[in-house]
Amino acid sequence: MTLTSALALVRGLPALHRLEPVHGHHVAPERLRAIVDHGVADGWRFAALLAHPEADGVRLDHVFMVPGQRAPLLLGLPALREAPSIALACPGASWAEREVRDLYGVRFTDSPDERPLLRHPDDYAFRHIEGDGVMEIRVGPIHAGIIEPGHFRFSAVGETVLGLEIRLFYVHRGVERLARGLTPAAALVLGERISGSGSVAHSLALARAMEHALGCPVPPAHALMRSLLLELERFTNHAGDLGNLCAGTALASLLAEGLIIKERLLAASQQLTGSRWLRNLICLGGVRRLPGAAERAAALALLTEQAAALERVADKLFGTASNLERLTGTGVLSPEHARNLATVGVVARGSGLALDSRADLDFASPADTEAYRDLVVVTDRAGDVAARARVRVAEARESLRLCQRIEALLTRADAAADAARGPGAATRDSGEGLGWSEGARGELVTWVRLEAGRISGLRVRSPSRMNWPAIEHAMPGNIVPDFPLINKSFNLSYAGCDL
Amino acid sequence: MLKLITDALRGGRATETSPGPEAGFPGAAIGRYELASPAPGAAALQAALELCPTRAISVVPDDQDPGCAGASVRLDDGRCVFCGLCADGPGAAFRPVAIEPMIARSRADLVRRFPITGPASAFTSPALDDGVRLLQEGSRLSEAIRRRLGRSLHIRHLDAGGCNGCDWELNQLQAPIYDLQRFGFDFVASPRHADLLLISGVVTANLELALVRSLDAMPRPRLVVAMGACAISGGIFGTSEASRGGADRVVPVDAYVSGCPPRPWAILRALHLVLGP
Repeated sequence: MTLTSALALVRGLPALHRLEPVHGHHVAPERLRAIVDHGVADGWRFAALLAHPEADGVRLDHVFMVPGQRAPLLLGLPALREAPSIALACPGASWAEREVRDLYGVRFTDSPDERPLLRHPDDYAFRHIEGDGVMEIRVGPIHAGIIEPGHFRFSAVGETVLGLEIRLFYVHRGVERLARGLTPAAALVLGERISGSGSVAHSLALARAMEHALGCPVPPAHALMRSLLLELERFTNHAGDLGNLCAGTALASLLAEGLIIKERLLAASQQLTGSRWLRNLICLGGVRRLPGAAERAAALALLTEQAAALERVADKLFGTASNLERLTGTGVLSPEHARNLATVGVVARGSGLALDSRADLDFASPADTEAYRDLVVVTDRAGDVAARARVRVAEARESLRLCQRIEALLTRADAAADAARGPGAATRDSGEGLGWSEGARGELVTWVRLEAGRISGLRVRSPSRMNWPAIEHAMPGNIVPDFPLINKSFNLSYAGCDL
Repeated sequence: MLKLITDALRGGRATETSPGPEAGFPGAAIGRYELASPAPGAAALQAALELCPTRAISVVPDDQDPGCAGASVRLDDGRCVFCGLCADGPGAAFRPVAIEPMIARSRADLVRRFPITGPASAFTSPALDDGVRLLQEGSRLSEAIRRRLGRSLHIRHLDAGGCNGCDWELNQLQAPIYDLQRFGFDFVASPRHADLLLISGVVTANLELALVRSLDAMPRPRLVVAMGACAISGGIFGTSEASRGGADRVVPVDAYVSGCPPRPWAILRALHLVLGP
């Protein structure tokens, strides 16, 4: 199948107007699998499974990213209680289907995995690898370090791992249900607390979804300020992650240097926004208040200084032979696995996939289009721990450049004028919207539905949700003691995944 | 390797001096919100009551002065997630203060009162459930712990279902800036090695058993500290079919440190508090 043929298959179907201008089509359940099979062959990437309960069943929309298309593509099924599973063609959709079954009671026919995902029954059927000398090592949910809870089950012969099964959702807090009934302002307070280290990524995607739903414009200066926060969050995360990686290789001095850089950036974030985690600024239609030029300049000066410190850390991280040896060839995620599992973000780019929603998808605000117009999407083909570290270093560098560009755009006279205008206002109080952001961990897709100014439906598809299963495929052949290192190189959020 | 060593030496000392109790925290962080005026406009206060997403604000009759028809605004720092909607919203009835966040041994001590003029009945205030079962007051064993351990306190952290903000702040405590080991504190890998269980996050249904078992595994005497709005009250996640709410609904808690997440200095201060003066 060629690109045109899979799209042609869909274009003959009736258009779905619900989320315009995002394109979608109504699909009969019995035709879904054939379309998805063709789409996957043409390079479509599964992005999200939207679900909304209605009187006669649950309405499902499959969201795909299509190569060359500047917006997601929706395949909308009618309300139903039983839907065809697409997880065999799109393994990346497996967790989403299991989640939708647990949350909304939809049955998926011919699903490769019928086990519950969010609930933890005592008789959960873990996978087993049997054979001479195979032993099972069970770790978690409570781990030895200061880290979120999750369960890892290794099957190993000696030190060498044959298989890994990851079971998460220990920190499932029921975010999507909690959101129902909230105003946009309260929903953003919740959104900022889905995953602390991704506060901006989550709240930005949610704000954009609500703005789409409510027809709410964002003044250019406000859009730019939010992107500045997003890049600052990315830089802070990447710097911290590079330091943490050295905890996995027992290079204590670089761990300490990474933690110092991160602390300086958290302090700068607090000076800029009042919050070390860049919270309390993003609102519907923009930002609650626009930090002044002097505050932004101070934060940027500190960022520039810490970027130089991060360059020195990177030099040593890759320049110390014993350290580099630990990173190289460890935890390889092949491009095939990265693509089949529909991974995103640093994980995908570290396995050679050039995907980044900042470059691939259209922004609602022309100011963002201008800010990101020459974004360099960094990729690395090696797929190992070292590759993901190199991508982080290069992306942090790019974030610094973007912050400087955004600041230059913000200081233009016209931007200063619309800063005084305050955030944009909603033009209606009900609707559905889709929003996305490219946070430090990658693409995040949020869908929201509002009725009379209150949220009546929310779906969040975080980058961690897509990337967690990939660790299972990066682990076999490695030794058990390298798991912390490999896990740190992915640095996924448990809370962001578990919701 | 030589470069690692020379750089480490050249880097000098990054550790910051611990601030004294009066000195406040470095960097002027928002530690609390307070009523912006003792006579807030009724509309502004009502707006704040409705904006607060965790029902941290309420208006109650002033029972400390029964003869008076006045009322008090109650601000529960155990519920506050420091979102600032009460200060940024219409009327701005509250304002942020750069001050030490609330740290207390008793849950009730996290609630501050601001007397206002006018009757409480003028406001629609959220129904609060804090009359309900705090499981039990903490074990108040700090004297025994201190006698036995001096100032060598080993901490086991447990994320019972938070956003990971608290986890990352605890990681920063190990950074050279804060260097918690200099106070005799350290994080340990197992509850069996721990004197203190530091809980962050709401207690999710999927982690309730792990929390109870972790506490059971600890040697006695032992202490429990709840950090952050989630572990204190349920915070933004509250109580639901997925979550049990604050930690003291499941295990006894000896001290609370407010914040969302609490800053590293505040966590250090709370650790000092449970050990006594």
